[in-house]
Amino acid sequence: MQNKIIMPSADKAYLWLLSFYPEKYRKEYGEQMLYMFKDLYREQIELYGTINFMFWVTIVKDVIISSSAQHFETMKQKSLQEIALSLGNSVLIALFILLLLTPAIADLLYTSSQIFALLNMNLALFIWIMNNMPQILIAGIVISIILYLITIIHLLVVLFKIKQPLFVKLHNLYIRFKPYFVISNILSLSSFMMLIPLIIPFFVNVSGVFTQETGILFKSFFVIILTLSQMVKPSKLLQSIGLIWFALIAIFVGYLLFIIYQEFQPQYYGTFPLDDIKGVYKLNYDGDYWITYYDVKEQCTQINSIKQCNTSLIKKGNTSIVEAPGELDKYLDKSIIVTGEFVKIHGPGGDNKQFCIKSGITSKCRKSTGHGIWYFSPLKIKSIKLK
Amino acid sequence: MSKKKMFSTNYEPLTPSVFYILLSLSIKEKHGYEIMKEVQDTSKGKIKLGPGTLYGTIKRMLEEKLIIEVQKNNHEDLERRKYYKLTKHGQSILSSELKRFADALEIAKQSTLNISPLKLITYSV
Repeated sequence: MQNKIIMPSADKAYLWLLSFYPEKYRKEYGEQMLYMFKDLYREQIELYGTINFMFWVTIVKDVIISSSAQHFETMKQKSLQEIALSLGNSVLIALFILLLLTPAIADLLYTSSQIFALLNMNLALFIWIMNNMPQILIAGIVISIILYLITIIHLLVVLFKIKQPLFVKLHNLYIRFKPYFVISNILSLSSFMMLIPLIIPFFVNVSGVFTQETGILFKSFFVIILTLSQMVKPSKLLQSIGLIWFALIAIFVGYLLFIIYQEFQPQYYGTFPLDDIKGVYKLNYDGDYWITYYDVKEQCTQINSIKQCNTSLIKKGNTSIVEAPGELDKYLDKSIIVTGEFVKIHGPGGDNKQFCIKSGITSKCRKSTGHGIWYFSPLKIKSIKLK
Repeated sequence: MSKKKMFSTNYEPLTPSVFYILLSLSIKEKHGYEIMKEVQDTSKGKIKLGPGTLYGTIKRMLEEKLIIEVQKNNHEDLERRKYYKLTKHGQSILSSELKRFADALEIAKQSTLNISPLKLITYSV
């Protein structure tokens, strides 16, 4: 096949359209669909010398119809447990978005906090340039964070009458430059909407269950809140809501910090083909660390009322440790006692199939090796001691 | 989870797109674009499959084991295109469908012969 025609813009446009499909489907067939799109594009050029409007209408129509069908198919296949998990994660996502909605609340409480419009414009700009100019992206994010913090401090000073000198200085800075932030809230609204595609992939990676439908709901939520913020005048009631708002954010930030703390705790993930975890283990190294599991078997013989017993180790299986710190080296090829938490989960089986272990809101994935059904465990090893 | 099979019985009519895809793959293995062109040509332009519709159907056909993926190393083609070919199950489903068409045609022919020209005129009125 000849695919020499370079059409990066069209490719990019189609790649963007592919994002409307469910993630699993996109991973499986997205690349092939892109090849087919390229062929159709080339055919169009060869036949008519140009790409007409109807070509794109046909492509978009195809994407809308087939992506809706695939989303419907995905929803039908979800189990009750997955739906429950999805809802649970949605609560977390909602809290995260509430945090991002602070600008809208600022507008709600104290109108004309146009600083957020600038912040949002920055973010929108970063999304646009992020693929090509990472330095500007980083600089922009730093500026945005500073602007965001100044505004939060301004709100804290106003709400809680904080007299801390640095806070008051920053509050004054905000007040002084407020008239210069003349960018309209319409820009704020539109750039907030542009933020959504940036947020969604984060949650897709983290939870794996965040769907585009939920994304659309949040978009609508954004629009409603931002629109309301422009219509309502400040009042005592709204200030009380503001206090609750900050309390919610504090809880959420605390929860996030707790998750981050947990994430940085040493964790060992492994696969266990066995139900019984009591016994003797031996740590081996073969590219990955392996724990060989032995069953302790006691064989007794009774001769003339004298009982003689010998213990022997019978190898029952291996389990791999995906993440292992260097300190494990000292246990190599020695018998060890492992204590920790083991949770048995039904694995996918087969060679090179990816399995993911969920822990909190994060998941870690790796390729499985070996045939048959595996039971793998998020294995939090508390201690490894020499036997 | 028991999922309703869409092409599981020999007597269940296939959807036009599934039928034409099976027909196009009965000659040789093909990739997406080749299938789409063949379907368009065979159906005389009546069935036009876009990338999304085609791969949605291919997905279902793979699940039903009517077709399988084939690895093909074409050194001129740097892209990792997937080729598809009919399975034995797919071939038998296609044969059954063709037989169903042939039977239906035979019945229709016989019915037409049994209808007198007068009756035809009456019906057309």
